[in-house]
Amino acid sequence: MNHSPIPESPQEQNLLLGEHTLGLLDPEREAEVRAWIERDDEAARMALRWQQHWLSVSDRLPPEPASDSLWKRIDASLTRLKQTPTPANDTGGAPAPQAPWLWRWLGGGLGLGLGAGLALALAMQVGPFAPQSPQDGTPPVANEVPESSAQRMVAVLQTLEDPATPTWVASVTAGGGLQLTPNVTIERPTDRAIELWTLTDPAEGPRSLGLVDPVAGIELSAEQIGRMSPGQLLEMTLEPSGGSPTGKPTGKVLAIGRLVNLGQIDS
Amino acid sequence: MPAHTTPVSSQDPDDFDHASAIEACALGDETAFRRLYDLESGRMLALAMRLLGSRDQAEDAVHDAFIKLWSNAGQYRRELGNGRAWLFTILRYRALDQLRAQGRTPRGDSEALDSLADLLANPEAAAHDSQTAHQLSDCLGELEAPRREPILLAFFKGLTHEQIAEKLSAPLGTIKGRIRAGLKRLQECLSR
Repeated sequence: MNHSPIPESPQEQNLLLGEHTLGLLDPEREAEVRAWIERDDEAARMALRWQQHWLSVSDRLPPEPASDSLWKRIDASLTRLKQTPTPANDTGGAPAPQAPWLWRWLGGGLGLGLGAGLALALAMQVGPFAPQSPQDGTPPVANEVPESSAQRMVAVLQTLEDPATPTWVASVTAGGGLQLTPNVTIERPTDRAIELWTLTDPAEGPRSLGLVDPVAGIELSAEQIGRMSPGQLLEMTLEPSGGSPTGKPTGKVLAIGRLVNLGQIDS
Repeated sequence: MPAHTTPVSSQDPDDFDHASAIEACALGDETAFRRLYDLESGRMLALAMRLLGSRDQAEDAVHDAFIKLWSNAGQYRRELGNGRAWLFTILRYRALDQLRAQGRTPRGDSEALDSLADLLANPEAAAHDSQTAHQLSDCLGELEAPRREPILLAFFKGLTHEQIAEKLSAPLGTIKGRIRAGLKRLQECLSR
């Protein structure tokens, strides 16, 4: 769906943010607005002002006593969270090897060697992504993608149980965004969600790219995914509904793959 | 209602310094975290239950919101807005994301619009409203029904434009226009 850009008029901006705080926007527009709020303090201020106003409406609801188990769950999650090394609480030294997500992201034991061949084969299915600008003959900095994101990159995500079968294909679009398309349907319980992660900095650990629709896939803007590099890992995990409560992968790995630079194959 | 419950706080949330509590959480103060939970979990659960339609899912959303609060407290900037609004923004994101992950199927949508509108006319609840917040609920109550109803369905049920249009048997463009017009009227009313 095509959308108009973020409006320039403060009143129109405020109305758009009002719709956002109500949850009315379709997923693509919602992602654009969330990205806007992230980068623009005035947008964040307007959105919080709306939310503050809406509090008067939700405060009309009689409060619901929470079950005792809710606090126990929160407390247990908090304890686990504090034990997970993050830049905030573990700024020095090597990351703890016992962290399961970190082991996964470092690629231990994963048969990802099939990725490049499968990526090439699947690129034919997904179609080429024409570079926005011609190659100027300047080689890119090792393992980095130029700002123009003119590289054609694809990742084939494979299951750990059956690495020969490609499950989903992730394609970096000409604009530097990421499109994740299902090749097969991933079954999941109705009370669980599929969350997409990427890893750029092992010290930082995996970063969530959001929840994935198991049928329609997901498309993310360049701002949401940040800079993509060949070899970069993408992973989908099964998480509680609403996504991982800890900010790091907690559930079963459904599929994993590395970005392959197809632009270099043509040259 | 579960057999064992945490009593709902009787403290007026406007008498609590949410911003400082969130900043304390960023520094690892678990007492501040627990105080935020004791004060707000009942109100957050009430909103999440309206949005998600089940206590279990609502408790999932509140759980996730508090864990996000703890994880992201360092990102809160008081100069951008009210700490309580920030906390409820996290909750609303989580609840709406849960709805999206389920295909955004409306839950419990048999609830009459009248009962949602009645909330706005509840004088007992209104007595607890803060000055700023009181104005919006008043403004919403003053909107004519065709503009108020879709806004209430979005706010309390998490319905999209399309779902509201279907529920109210109205063209999508009409619903979008009414919501826009309603929000504009709210803006004008709030600036008076």
